[in-house]
Amino acid sequence: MNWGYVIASWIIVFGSIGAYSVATVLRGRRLSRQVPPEKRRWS
Amino acid sequence: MIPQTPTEVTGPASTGSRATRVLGLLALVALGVLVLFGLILSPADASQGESVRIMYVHVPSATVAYIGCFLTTLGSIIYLWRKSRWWELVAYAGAEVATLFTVITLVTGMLWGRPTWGVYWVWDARLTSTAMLLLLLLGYLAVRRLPADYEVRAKRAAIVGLLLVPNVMIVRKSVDWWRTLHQKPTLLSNGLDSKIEGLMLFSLFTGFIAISLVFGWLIVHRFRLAWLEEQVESEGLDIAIAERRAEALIGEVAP
Amino acid sequence: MELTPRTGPDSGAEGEALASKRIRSKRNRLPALAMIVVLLVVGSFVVVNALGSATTFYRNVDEAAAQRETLGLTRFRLQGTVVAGSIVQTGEGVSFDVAYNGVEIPVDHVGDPPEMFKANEAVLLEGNFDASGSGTFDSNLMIIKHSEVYKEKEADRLQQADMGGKVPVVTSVPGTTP
Repeated sequence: MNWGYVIASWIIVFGSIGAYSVATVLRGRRLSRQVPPEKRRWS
Repeated sequence: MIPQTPTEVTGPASTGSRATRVLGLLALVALGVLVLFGLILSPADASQGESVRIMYVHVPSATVAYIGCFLTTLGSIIYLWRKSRWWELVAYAGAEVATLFTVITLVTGMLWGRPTWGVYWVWDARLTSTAMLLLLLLGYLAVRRLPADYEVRAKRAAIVGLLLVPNVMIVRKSVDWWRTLHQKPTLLSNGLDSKIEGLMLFSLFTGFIAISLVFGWLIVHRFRLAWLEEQVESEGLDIAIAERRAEALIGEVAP
Repeated sequence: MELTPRTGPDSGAEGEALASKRIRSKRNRLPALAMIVVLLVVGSFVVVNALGSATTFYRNVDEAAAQRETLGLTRFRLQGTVVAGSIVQTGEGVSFDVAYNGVEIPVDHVGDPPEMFKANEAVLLEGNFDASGSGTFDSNLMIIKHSEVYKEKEADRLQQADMGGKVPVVTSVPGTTP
């Protein structure tokens, strides 16, 4: 009983966090190529 | 655009670093533990049944959304006061990640409300003020992206950002100030152990750890992305000016 | 292809940067502005809603009973705990008593009650007092008001006995669910 709501909300949580993370990382990689290395100093 | 071969770069060619890789790994492990305890090992609630498991993601998501709002307001204050770009980007990163978690909070809340209350949504004070928080966050992001000079965009957004923490306080206090359908907080009130037991409390605790680690990882990456965005923006403008200048010079010499 | 005349390298470059910025602005400004307008409209709708209903979201049973004369046939939300043993299935729904602060009101609910509906659980009912003046509350919308207390399903019953009775939490006692 009610497992449907539980699974749906957990999928939404993991799915949306995952999608946002992937989008952020990919966009970061693309923009990194346009910025000289001395301006991205994290390591 | 500056030509760059990946082998030559000294900085990493992404928003990642050793620190974020460690943080990301910890977050993944914690999420695994959360699934284990939240979905498998913890028992069903005596009165709610299985739907209590939505709490283990709903409550931590709401909490980190508040933390994101706090970062935004803090960053906005420091930006308006000291014109610190670093803090302005922290504010921006905080707002975007807080928006993600506010949406998650609202959606999981609706999916929890249907089986426990019988309705997805009611306009009680807690739900209404949370909806207002989401609108305010979207407003911040829209104002921040409205094309203008950096200083203009940052200032406008920072003024919206100041409103976030007051709104969060209204959300937090709504269940005390008004009559709401939403229950009062289970944690952070006296008599903790009488309100939630053993493995359920531990699962909720695991949820806080896992979602906080994810939040931290996202904030760092989003901050670095925002930094890159600003670099590209100003870089693009510099290059455009340089190109035009060169073009104009050629035009002068050989018309 | 730039067709605007240039007077010199400096002014030309600056003018150019400004022009490109202006073009970019025009292209990008519309969706962001539309977004802000939509947010303002939705925001004011939400605020009006909040002022209208969030402050007097519900009336407790004792308050509703005291205000029965003035309430008349006004529609409002009633909050109380379902009295054990009062639940009776009717043709079109369910009837039962709700209690709060020692006052009870009989309820005639039309429609299927939610899954979680059972005795000793707090409920919100939307409706009005019966036109006949019998003091019965006619409800057609029921919401379960869950407390912030969570109990493991297989927990020891002795533990539940010394809960202090602030919020009654009921394990699935057979026979109480209609």
